[in-house]
Amino acid sequence: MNYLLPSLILVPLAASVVILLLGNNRGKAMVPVGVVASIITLLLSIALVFQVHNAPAAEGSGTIAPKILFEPQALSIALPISVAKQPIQWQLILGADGISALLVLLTGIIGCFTIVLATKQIESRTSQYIALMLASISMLMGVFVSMDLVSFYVFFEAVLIPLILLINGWGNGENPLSASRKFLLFTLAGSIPMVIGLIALAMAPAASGHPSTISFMELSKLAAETPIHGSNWVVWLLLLGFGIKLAILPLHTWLPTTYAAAHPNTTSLIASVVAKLGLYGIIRIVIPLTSHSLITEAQLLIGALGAIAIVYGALVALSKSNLREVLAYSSLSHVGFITLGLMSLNSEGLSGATLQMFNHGLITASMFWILAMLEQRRGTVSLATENQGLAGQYPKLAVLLVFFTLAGAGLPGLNGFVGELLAMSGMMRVSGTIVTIAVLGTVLGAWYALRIVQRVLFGGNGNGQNHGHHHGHHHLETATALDLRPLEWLPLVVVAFLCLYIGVLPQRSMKLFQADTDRISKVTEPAVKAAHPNTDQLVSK
Amino acid sequence: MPNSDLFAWLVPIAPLVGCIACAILSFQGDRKFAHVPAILSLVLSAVCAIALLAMGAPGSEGVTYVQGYRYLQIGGVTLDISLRLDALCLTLLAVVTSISAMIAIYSKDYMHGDHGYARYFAVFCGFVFSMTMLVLSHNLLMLYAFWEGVGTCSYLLIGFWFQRPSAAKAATKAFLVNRVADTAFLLGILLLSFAVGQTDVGQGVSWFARLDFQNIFDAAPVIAEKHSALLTCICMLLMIGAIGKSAQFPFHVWLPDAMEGPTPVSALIHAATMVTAGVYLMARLSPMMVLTPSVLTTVAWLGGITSLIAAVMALYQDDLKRVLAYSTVSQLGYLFMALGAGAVKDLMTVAVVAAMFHLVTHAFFKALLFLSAGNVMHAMGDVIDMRQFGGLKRVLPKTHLLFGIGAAALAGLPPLSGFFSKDGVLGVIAEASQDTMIGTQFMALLAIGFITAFLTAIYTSKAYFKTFHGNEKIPEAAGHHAHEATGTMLAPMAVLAVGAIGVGILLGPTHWILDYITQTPLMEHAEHHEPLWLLVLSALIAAAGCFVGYVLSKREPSTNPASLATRVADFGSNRLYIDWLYGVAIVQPLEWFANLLGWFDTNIIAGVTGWVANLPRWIGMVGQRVQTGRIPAYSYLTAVGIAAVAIWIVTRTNW
Repeated sequence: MNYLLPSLILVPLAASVVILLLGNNRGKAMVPVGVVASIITLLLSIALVFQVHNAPAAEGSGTIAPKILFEPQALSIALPISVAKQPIQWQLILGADGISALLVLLTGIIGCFTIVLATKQIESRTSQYIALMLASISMLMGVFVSMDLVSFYVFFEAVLIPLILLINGWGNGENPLSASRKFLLFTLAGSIPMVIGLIALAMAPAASGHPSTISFMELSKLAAETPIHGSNWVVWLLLLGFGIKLAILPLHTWLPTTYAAAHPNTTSLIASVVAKLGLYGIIRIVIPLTSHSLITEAQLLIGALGAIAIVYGALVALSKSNLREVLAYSSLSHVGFITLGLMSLNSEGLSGATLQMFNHGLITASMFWILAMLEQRRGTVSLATENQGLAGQYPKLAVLLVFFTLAGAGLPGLNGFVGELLAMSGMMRVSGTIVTIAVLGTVLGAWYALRIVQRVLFGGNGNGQNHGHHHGHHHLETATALDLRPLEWLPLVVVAFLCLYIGVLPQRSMKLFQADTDRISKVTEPAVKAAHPNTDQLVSK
Repeated sequence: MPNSDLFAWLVPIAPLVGCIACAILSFQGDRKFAHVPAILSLVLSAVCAIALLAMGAPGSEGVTYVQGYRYLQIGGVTLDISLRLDALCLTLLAVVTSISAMIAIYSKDYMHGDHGYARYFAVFCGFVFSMTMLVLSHNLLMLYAFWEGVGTCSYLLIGFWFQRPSAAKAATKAFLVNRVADTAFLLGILLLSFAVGQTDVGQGVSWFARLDFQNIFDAAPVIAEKHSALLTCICMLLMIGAIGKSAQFPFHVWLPDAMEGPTPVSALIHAATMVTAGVYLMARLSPMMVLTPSVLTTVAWLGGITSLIAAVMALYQDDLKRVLAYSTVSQLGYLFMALGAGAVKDLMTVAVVAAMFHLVTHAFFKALLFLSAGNVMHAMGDVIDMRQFGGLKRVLPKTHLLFGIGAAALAGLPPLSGFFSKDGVLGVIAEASQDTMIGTQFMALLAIGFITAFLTAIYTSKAYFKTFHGNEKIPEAAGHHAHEATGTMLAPMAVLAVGAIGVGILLGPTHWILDYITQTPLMEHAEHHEPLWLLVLSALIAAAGCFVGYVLSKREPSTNPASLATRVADFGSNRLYIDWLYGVAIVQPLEWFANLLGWFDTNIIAGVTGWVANLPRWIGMVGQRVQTGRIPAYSYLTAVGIAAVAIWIVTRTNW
C-alpha cells in the first residue's frame, strides 16, 4: 500500500478546495498557499520517480505491471451493470510504472512552474486561477496513476471542467468563450466513442469465459494470453476518442483555436500535459489491451497520419503570423513524431515515443511560457513584422528562446533529438515511406522555428515600434523595458538543464521506463512481424 | 601508450571547458577576459592533437578506440560515445585544432570591445569541441550528432551580429540549406543501419552499433553484392549530406552569405574547418564509397561544376570577402573532384590522399587570406568593397606581405603549398583519365580543373593588385586612423603564412602525407607519381593567370550595357541567378503552398468540423427547450446519451 499515489491526487485537490473556499475573489492572499501546494506536489512526484526507479522489477505476465500499487479494500463498489449475469465490481486501483512516473513528473514540473509563473502573469483573480490550475493538476495526476478503467475514465473526463473554466475565464485571445465551447464539444464528442470502447473492454473477459475485471493488469494479462479477443471496432472507437484528445490530423481543429484563445500560461499546461492524455491513453490502453486489432487494422494508418501531421503542422505553422498559432501548429507537428513512434510498436519506437512525450512537454511548455512573457511586455507577438530585434532588449529571454527553439528542432545533444531519432528508427523497421515523410518534416520544422528567431529576436535593436495589439494588460507599460526577472528565468533555466541532461545522458532517464515499454514490445513486436511480413525486410521478398 | 587516451580526450574536452567558462563569463557581461580560457583551452587542445600526430599511427592495426560512456541502450541497442583514432582523423584533427588556436589568438584584438565578446568565444570553443568530436567519431550516428552541432555553432556565429537584418537572414539561410542536405544524410544513415542489419555482420549487432565505421566497412561488400541499387541509394544520400556541409553545387548558396559573420569566423569555420567536414565524411566512408563508382563520378562532376561556376562568380565579386568565399567553394569543388577520381579502380586511396593534402594546405592559406581581409576591414572601418579602397601597401605593409603569400599559394605559384597540393589533385584526375571505361569523363574534368586553376589565378591576383597596388584610396568610414593590425593579430598570421609557404613542399614531394594516411585501415599503400608535364603546365597556367589578373585590375570595367563582357559580369555578380531560381522555384511555391494549407485548415477543415459540431444546435432549434445554453445541461445530456448507448450494448444478446 503506497500512500504517495493518493496524495499526488489529494494534495493539489485539497489546496484547490481550500483556496476556493477561503480565498476572496479579488485578493491575492491565498496565492502562497497555491504555490506551496504546487511545490509539494512537485516534490511528491519526484519522490514517486525515485520510488519507481528503485523498486524491484514488477512481477506479472501482463503487459501492464505497476511497480507500486494502492488498492484500498474499502473502495470497492459493485457497479449497477452486469455482464453475462456477472456483476462488475469496481475496485479503485492506483499504481505507477515507469511510464506513469515519467508523466507524473512532467505534470509536477509543468504544473508547479506554471503556477509560479502565474503569480507574475495573471493579473486578475489570481488565487482562483491557481486553484483551478491545482484542480487540473490533481485530475491529471489521477489519470496517470489510475490502473482501472473506471477511475481512468473519471479522471480523464474530470480534467475538462477546470480547464474549460481556465480557458474561458482567463483567455485573452480571440473569443475565448467560443474556443472553450469548441474544446468542450470536441472532447466530449471524443468521449462518447471512448467510453463505449472502454465498456466493451470491460466486458471482453466475460465474453471469453473469464471472470469480469476492470483492472489494467488483469486485462493486459488476458490480452497477452488470448491475443484475439474483442472485435475490431473497439480499437477504432478508442482511437477516435484518444485521437481527438491528441488532435490527430483531421480532428485537430480544437487545438489551434484553444491555444490562440487561452492565456499562454494556461496553454503551456494544456499543450504539454493535457495534449499527452490521448497519447497516454494509446500507450496505456489501446496498445496493451487491443494490440491485435490495432496491428491488423490501424497501425499503418495512424502512423501515416502522424507523419502527415509532422509535415502538415509545420507547413501551416509557416503560414501563420500570430506566434500563438505558430506554436499551436508546431505542437501539432511535434506530436506527430510521438504518434509515429507509438505506431511502430517495437522497442525503439515505444521507448522513443515515451521519452518524447516528456521532452515535448518540457519544450512546448517552455515555449508558451516565453510567449507569455513576451506578450506581457509587447502585446501580441506577430511574425508579420520582420526584424523586430527583441534580442537586444531582452537578452536572457532571447537566449532561452533560441535554446528551446533548437531543442524543438531536434538538435543533437538536447532532448528532442534522442526521442525523435528513436521514434523514426523504430518506424523505419515497419515502413520506410512513413519515415521518409517524417524526415522531410524536419526541414520544414527548422524553417518555421528559425523564422520565429529571425523575425522576433534578430535584425534590429528592439527599439522599433510595437505593431501588435494590447489585450487588456493594464500594467503593460511598466514592464515593457525589463528583461526577465529571476523568478521568470529560473524555471526556464531549470527546464533547460533538464533538456540538456536528457540530451547528453539519455540512457539514465530511459532506465526509468525501459522495462515497461519492453514489456509491451515483447508482445507487440512478434505480432507486428506476423501481420506485416515486410517488417524488418528492407527489400521486400 | 597510456597517455594517448588522456590526450585523445583532452582534445575535445579542453574546448568544451573553455566554452562553459566563456558562457559563464558571457552571462556576467564580460568584455575583457573571455579570451583567456578560450585561448588556453584551444592551445592545450592543439598541443594534444599534435602530440597524438607525432606519436605516429595508433594501435597495432592502425586504429585505436578510446572508451567514453554509454549514450543509449534500448533492448539490445547500444550507442557508446567513444573516440576512434587513426591516421586519417589525426591529420585533420591537428589542422583543425592548430588553426583554431591561431584564429582564437587573432580574435582577441579583432573582437576587442564588442558587446558579445564572451559570447563569441563561447560559441567559438563550442564549435571546436563539436568539430573535434566529429572528426574523432567512431560511429556514423555520433558523427551526425556533431555534424549538426558544428552547423548550429556556424548558425550562431553567422548571426553573431544579430542586429543586422542581413546577418539574421544569412544565418537562417545557412541553417536551412544545410538542413535540407542533412535530411538526406539522416535518411541515408537510417537506411544504412537497416541495410547493415540485413547482412551477417549486422546479425546480433544492435541498431546503432551497426553504424560503427568498422561494421559498415565489413558489411558494405555484402550489401553491394546483394542489393547494389540500395547501396548506391544510401551512398547518394550520404553524399548529399557531404556536399551540403561543404557548400557544393546545388547547395553552395549559403556559403557566400555566411560572410556576414565576423571575419575570423569566416576564416575558421567557412574556409578552413567546418566546410571540409563533407570532404572528411567522404574520405572516412571511402572504403564503402569505392563500391559505388556511380556515386563517385557524380561527386566528381558536382565538384567540377562547382569549382568552375564558383570561380566564375568569384571573378565578378567586388566584395573582397565574397571573392574569398567563392574561392573557398571553388577549392572545395577541387577536393570533391579529387575524391571522385576514386571511381577508377585502385585509385581511391590516392584520391583520398590528394584531397586531404589539398584540404590541409588550403586550410592554411585560406585562413591566412581571410585574416588578411579581416585586417583590411579593420583598417578600412568595416568597408570591404574593393571599389572603395586601393593601393593599401603603404598603409598596411605587413598585411600586404601576408596577403601576398596567401594569394600566391591560392593561385598555385611554385613553390608555395597550393602549387603542390593542387598539382596532386590534378595529378590524380589525370591518372583517372587513363581509365578505359570512364576515362573520357575525367579527361573533361581535367580540362575543367585547368580552366578553374587559370580563373583562380586571375581572380586572386586581381583582388591582390586592386587592394594593395595602384593609387592609394581610403574610404571615409576609415577616418584618419587607418592603421596596421596589432602584433597579437599579426603573429598567428605569420604562423599561418609559414604553413602556407612550407606545408606543401614538406608533405607533398616527400610523400610524407601519402605514407602517413595510408596507415589508416583499409587504405592500403598505393603508388602515385605526378608526371612532370603536369607540374610545368600548372605552373605556367598559374603565372599566366596572375598576369591576366594584374591587367584586369588596372582596367576599369566596361560600362556599356550592351557589350557581352557586361552581360557576363552581370550574370556572374548575380551569382548566375541560382539563388534567385531557388527563391522562385522552391521557397516561394512552398510558402504559397503553406498559405494554401493554412487557409484550408482554417476554412475547410475547421469549417466542416464546425458544421458537424453545429448539427446539435440545428436539431436543437426544433426542440429549443433542450437548448438552454448551459454547459452542465449539455454534460448531463451527454451522460444520458452515453448511458443509453451503454445499455444498448450491454443488452445486446449476440455479444
